[in-house]
Amino acid sequence: MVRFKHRYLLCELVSDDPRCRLSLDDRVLSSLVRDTIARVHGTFGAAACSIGFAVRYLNAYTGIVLLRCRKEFYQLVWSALPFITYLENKGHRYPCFFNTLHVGGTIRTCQKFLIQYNRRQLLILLQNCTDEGEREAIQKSVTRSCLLEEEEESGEEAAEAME
Amino acid sequence: MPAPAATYERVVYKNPSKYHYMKVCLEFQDCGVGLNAAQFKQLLISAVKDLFGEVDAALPLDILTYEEKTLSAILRICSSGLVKLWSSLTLLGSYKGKKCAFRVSQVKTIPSHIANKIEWWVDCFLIHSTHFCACINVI
Repeated sequence: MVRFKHRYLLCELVSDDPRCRLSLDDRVLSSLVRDTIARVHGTFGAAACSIGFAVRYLNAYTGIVLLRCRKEFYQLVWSALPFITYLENKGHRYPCFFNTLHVGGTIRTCQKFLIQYNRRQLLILLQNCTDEGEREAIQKSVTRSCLLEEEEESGEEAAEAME
Repeated sequence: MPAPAATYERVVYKNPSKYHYMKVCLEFQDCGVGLNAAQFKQLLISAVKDLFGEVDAALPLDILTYEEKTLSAILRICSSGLVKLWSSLTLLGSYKGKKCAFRVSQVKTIPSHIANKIEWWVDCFLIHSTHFCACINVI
């Protein structure tokens, strides 16, 4: 069937400075990615990638970003992401880099991956944390996420059984 | 600048080669503009950089011969970058504010001096083989 196919790039913004994530804004990020593509892939790359390009999801607390681009040119966008070295906002420049976690064809697959990734990150945080109060809070989140996981799996099994 | 009408001939070689060789000539609208070899290469690289960015401006491009009087050169580019180089030469319109254009006269997969030798060798072989067959028939 005839429709425009997209690729969704799930990325994480990694930075030493904690203020960097808080200054994430979708317009700032969009212009940054477009400028980087124009620098790395020239006029051709900038024009090819800007047609279907959009920032679909942005979480300033965890630094997770979901970018959308057309399927034919997603490799140009993907290869330009490592060339982003700083984030500039209101005159302040914060060094950072983008880590691409997942490339998916739909937002739903990226969301599923993100849920599993966050569960794994919670377990890693639990191992590494030092403060008792933090440890209890993380343990609560882990048990809650495990319960949700079991509910999801039982829901899926029930749906399959009905079919 | 209208180009003079040129004849066009295409010879296809079947062997995939790593490099393509282009014979190009730079024409300016006004006369009296000179470039040395380094400036010429800088112009080529900046043309590719404008259109295809820094990644493709780093393609291995060599100028094998360059004549400053006629501003013509033989370039060598890897085969995957031929289309990018040719399209960026097509879209280059000016150098330091002066209008100019690139004329591409030949594109080959083997450099011209070797190509001539291969044709000569093939001709010799054919002549000798027909002579040999003629001798066998006589016997």
